[in-house]
Amino acid sequence: MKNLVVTDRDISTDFFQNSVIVNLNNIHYSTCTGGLSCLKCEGSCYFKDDMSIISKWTNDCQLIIYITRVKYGCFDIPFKKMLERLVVNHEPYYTMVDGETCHLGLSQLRKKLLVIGYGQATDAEKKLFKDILDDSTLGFSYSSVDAYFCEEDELDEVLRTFGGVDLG
Amino acid sequence: MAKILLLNSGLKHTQTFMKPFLSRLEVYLDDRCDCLDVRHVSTFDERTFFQYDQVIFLFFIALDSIPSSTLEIFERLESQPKGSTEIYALIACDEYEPEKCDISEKILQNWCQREQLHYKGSLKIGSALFIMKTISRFVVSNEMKRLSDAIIHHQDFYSKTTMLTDRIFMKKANQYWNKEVKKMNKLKRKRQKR
Repeated sequence: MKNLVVTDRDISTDFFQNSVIVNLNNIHYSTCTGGLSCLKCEGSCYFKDDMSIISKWTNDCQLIIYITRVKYGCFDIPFKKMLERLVVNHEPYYTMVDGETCHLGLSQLRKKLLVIGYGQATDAEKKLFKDILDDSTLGFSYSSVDAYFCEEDELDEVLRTFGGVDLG
Repeated sequence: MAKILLLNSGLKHTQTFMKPFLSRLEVYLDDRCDCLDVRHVSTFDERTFFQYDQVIFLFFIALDSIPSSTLEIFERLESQPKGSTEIYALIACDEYEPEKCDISEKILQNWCQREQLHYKGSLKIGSALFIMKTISRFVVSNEMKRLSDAIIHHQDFYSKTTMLTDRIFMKKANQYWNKEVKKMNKLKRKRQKR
């Protein structure tokens, strides 16, 4: 598995031909309960649903592309629910990295992350969203994190521009 | 005297982690206001939200940011006629640095601004999984008393607290996880025997 595209909106498969495209509207996944029992049993989640395989894919791939609506300066709710399930990819124990405590990811692979945020977001919300991407691990360690914002009606055009980014 | 709502808005099982903080805050506020109501995500009613003078959001962060359950509450409140409720937050994270709660606070603050509510501040707590089992619980209790005073007097309040040093944190935290992992393994073995 090389690349993974996760989207909360229907997109054409032509844009990212070298990736697996996961449309959150077409999969079934439960909401994380936050009990952290997955950390106690070596990354095995209580829920056996579509997220089991998607978590594995996110572990194995090198480039992740998230296409999400930006709401309240954050990922939209279905997307945030998906991200919360990725806690399963963390180690329970804490490690100091650059003087800060954190849970390391189980995957040693450093990934590239591209986030395309769409919807009506104010400048403050866009900045907030970028802060989330900079400060949060979102389940993995990344070698580069990039964000791009556009209006919902511009999304297809933007995806056409970014299409092929997964080819290498 | 005011009507106050303590809203435990985190993910389902993180509400257990928040319980020590919630119950203390409940005690500190109980006889100092007209009405003190405690709600969870499952018992929360958006129609009554703006009837309270003050609402305190309590949640444990999820993947370094605000939990989806709290975002759902924001969404449910969108269609409600707005009041002039004051908003406070008690945000907790499992890491040593309470600064990990900053993003969640900013999102909450941004929502308050958008909905024209008065954001009055927060108490951010680091090492939240086990801080109440260590000597630092006295510091936390003190901060929570200060928060409850600020709520009662309608004052702004911004503070954070965590364990004494990161070395103590690392020791205690890894001990905690060792114990939890062992407990889980034991439970698994028991289940397999059955």
